[in-house]
Amino acid sequence: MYFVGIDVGSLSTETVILDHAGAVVSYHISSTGANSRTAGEKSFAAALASGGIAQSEVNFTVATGYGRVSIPFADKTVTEITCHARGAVHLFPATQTIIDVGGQDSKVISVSQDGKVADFSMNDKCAAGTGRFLEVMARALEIGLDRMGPLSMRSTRDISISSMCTVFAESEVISLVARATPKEDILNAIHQSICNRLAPLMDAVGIRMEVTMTGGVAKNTGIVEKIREKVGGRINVPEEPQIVGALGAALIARDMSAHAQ
Amino acid sequence: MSVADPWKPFREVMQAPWDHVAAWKKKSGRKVMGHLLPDVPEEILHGAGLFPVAIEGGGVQASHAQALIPSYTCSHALGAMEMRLRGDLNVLDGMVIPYVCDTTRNLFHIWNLQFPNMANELLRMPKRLDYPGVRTYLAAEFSRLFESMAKLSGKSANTQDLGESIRLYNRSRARLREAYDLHRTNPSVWTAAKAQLLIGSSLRAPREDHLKWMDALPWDEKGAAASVDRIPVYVRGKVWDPPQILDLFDQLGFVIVRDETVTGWRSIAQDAPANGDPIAALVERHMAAIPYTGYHESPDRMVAGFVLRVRSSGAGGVVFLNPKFCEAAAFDTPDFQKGLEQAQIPSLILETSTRGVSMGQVRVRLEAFREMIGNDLP
Repeated sequence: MYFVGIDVGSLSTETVILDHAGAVVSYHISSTGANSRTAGEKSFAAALASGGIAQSEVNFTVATGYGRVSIPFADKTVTEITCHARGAVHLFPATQTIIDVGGQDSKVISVSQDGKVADFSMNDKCAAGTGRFLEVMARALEIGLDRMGPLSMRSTRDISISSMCTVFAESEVISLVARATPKEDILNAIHQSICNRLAPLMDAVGIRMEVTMTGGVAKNTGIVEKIREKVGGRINVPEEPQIVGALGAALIARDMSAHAQ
Repeated sequence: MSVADPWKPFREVMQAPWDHVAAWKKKSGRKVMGHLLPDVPEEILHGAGLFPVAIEGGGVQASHAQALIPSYTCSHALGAMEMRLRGDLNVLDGMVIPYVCDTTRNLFHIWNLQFPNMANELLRMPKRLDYPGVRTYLAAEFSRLFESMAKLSGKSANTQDLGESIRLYNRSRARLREAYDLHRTNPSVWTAAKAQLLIGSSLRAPREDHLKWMDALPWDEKGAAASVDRIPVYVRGKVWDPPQILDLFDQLGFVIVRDETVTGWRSIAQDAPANGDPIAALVERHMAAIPYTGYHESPDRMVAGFVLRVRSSGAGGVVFLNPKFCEAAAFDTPDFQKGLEQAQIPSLILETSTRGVSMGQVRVRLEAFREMIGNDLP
């Protein structure tokens, strides 16, 4: 029997399939697009195919993410806050704080000794400081998302992007480009701006070590480094940070199935 | 209004309050006095021969008002101004604005300049409730308002009429408390939204009519099954803004066992003594009410009182429904939250507003809070 977690986010959809022992058998990441239900169904089908698993072998499915309610075959929906906490603690059991920067929102989550959510804080004003913000900036700079982190590490001069609004920040970046400011320095400023945006969330919840970072933005080494400087300690980054929410959902699915029996 | 559906009159009032107010004004011949929430004694307006109607700016999308009031003003004040500017409140003959915070004080002065043909009153509420002279001061202020309102209506300020109004409003509040308690015990039928519908409409309709409508409600109606898995929560806030948040509480399986909003439990919790000097009775009611967020007394006593109220409500957690740009709420919340932490009561702060709030994000926060304090997940 297998247990499935599907995380339908604003930008991407992830599916993780676990076996009865909790080992990851298969996972799949794809763009969400305009229809979250279709995205969930396609991601689920792709993960099944990748693991060579028939749908009838799935015992329990938990959906999470902003599109969680649009997955008709889910047995249960759980918020991404709970799922990211569950997934992060599973991967790094000493985790006490989780920083999740996703496509359209950022969260800082504090977990108690037993690994359950004790407190959390979310951004609430706009998409500044999220994955969508990075996408817009990458487009303005005409570079790939995967190159942003390494390039920013080569910055030699601190500049600042004052705006916290994605649209205004993009204007600032365009102005900097027009003034022939090196991309490395602009990227460094962008990453600092994201870190500044996360700071009040961290302060609201309180940072307790160990810290684990989840969500697609954790793939950006430049941002991870900025956050490491801010918290003053090591940051755990999973091998595939983008699937932690779906992993947490799959773990909850396994627990709920066991609980039901 | 039809009574075939006993909830219909309440819904109709909330859906088109100003049409109904205009109709009642024409029918009764009474002048209509708006009063900005909180703490303007409706009994004084009613006893003076006026028709009191509560003005709640929450839930109103502001456009014109931003030309007069900065956009970083709470939606309660901004929304009230917006409604007046777009003509919703043309039916009003006057307006009482209580000075409960800097925003309401400044709103009054802007309002008075903009609408000089209305009978506008600034009711100066005492901010310190622990000063020895507070009762004397408040009695004088209430008396001043009563005389001013009687002058507006063209009748003499009669304490006997005021006593009658107090007894009417006490009866109304008793009925509303009954409905609130039914929400606590039978939330699947008496939802938070329904309980709030009754309270909200009572603030906008003639109380005499409202009491009659409430008599026709199905008070004995039972739910299909008791909702044992509902999570009891306590809500501290100003108004239900955005209004849809009440539906969220219902949908996510919470039961609001008590709240401190000025359009919720706080507005119906206390009666004024039915006998004796009516002005003194209204002062006593004010002093016994849950302190509004802009009022001050000893911080330790405020926190201790709050934690005690939460404990005695049986709530498993507290939701702070703080209006965006409300400095008074933002000022008080850290102390209250610290008190809850020491008492090991979990809490969630939601900073909400009709303007610029994503209901999807509010839902995620509330749902995660439910997962945090509930026992649904293994």
